[in-house]
Amino acid sequence: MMGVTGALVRQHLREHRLSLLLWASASARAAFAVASTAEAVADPRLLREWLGQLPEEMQRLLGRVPDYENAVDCFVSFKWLYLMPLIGALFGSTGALGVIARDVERRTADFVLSLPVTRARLLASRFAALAIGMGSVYLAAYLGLVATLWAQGMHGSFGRYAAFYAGSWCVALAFAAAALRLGLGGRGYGAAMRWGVLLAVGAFLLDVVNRVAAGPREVGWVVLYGLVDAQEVVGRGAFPWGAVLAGLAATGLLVGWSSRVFGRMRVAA
Amino acid sequence: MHAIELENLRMEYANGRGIHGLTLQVERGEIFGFLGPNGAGKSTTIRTLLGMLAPDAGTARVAGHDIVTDGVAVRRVTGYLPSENALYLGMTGEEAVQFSLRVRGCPERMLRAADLARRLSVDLRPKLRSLSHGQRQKAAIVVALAHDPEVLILDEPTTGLDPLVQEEFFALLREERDAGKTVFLSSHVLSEVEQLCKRVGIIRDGLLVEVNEVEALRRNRVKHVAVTFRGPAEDVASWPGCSEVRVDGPRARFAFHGPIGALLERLARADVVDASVGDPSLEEVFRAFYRKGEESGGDDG
Repeated sequence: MMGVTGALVRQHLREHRLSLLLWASASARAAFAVASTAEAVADPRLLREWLGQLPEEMQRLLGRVPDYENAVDCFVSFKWLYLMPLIGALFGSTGALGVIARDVERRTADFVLSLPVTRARLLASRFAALAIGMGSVYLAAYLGLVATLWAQGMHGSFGRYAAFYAGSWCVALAFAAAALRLGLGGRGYGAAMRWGVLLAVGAFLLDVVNRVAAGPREVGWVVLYGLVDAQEVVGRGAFPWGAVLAGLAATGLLVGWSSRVFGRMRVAA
Repeated sequence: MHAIELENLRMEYANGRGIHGLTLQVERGEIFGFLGPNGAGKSTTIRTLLGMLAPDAGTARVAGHDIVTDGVAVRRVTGYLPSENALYLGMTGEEAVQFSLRVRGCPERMLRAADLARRLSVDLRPKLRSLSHGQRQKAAIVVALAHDPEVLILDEPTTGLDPLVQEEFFALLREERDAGKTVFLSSHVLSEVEQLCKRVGIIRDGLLVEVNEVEALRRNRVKHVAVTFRGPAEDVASWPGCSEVRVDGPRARFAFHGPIGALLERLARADVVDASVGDPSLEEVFRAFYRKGEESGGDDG
């Protein structure tokens, strides 16, 4: 049974290897670009001066130097980490449409649906492949960041970065699952793509605005992005349990819902 | 036990199209032709059998497995060739076959796939994207047959195949039949169905209008006749079996329904300069069936 699931997962990863490679390399490259400037910028005095010039609202969003154990963490957080949940959510949302919706659009569904597997297993296997792909993008970004800092002799809180990435991955999975469900809505691939991206970006912007405006923290929790706060995770060393639990719970619910919808879906010629 | 059994199978789309209560049995070791024009319900029937569309009513079994409660088993014993390419174009033919065989739990059948590829003259190594339409179709045939399925469901299988490969493909299907496999061949090309099948079912507007042996279908078939008389055209409309008569001076065109010998005898008695008899289109065969149904006041579906 695992052989069948393994074959489905491998096929999906192979089919989407180009986009996976592009996202992973772009993330690693961006992490490298950020980290390579750290040596010049991550001086506590410079950072304090620069951040101190920002309006109070922006400081709330990006963090303050005293919130972090060392200046590198502060720099990496405001320059890069807070974008990570969004990057993963965008990759996941577009990738989730490749789980089923793209097959229906391109008529390759005829091939996969004629295989002796249940639709639930097909969907779960492919979503698992997507989750692995998203994990790979995060891993590439993490390694790009850590390796570049390490090469410059700068030692940030690498373990905390990893925890932040794990939380971001769980949040991004939930947005991918939402896009998966949108892709089965019958409005077509293009519409699902637009709504999936809009949902991921819209929720992120809502969280940003809420933070800047010092709104209630619950708003950030509802849109999930608020559950992975760099100041909390990297600055104070709190593991993002909320993001992990809420992200995985939302993912489970949405994948289950998608599975039910897909199970009843009529795939017409 | 029949290889394929449909009992009042109904699957209707929101617009009312679909299949409206099909009852049909296909024997084991038979190549059964499923005929109909585009939009008649052929692909809908096939997709319902394979679980892509859930039936609204009725039952169907493939190799003894219920299509609703045991869909995985149905697909395990079935080889399906869709009417349009459904393989991933980023894969090579070899990868597509390997993937299908792995999911089906029989990766050792790769040797059979290689043999099929050799017989159909298709190279499975290039990416499917780089292959012509005909080559892709051959690769799809290899994927459909590689796991040695008990039942083959083929939807317009000869699209894009050149005549030589078609011959080899037909030979392959006959071998499968002789080995006890069942072939459900959907097509709108009457000639290829005539070559392969002993029995056919004709579907139109989601209803089976005829299930019969090919020979019987031939007897029922309308012929197109064009006759040029030496003088003014005779009153062809009064001849038995003639209908849809159009006269233009000495020329008469009409449809003939009945034993061709009777027509030849009638023509021999007339002063005819030229005559030709042609096969009707499948559409006209359908019309003949409908006319027959209306005359008898029955419903063939």
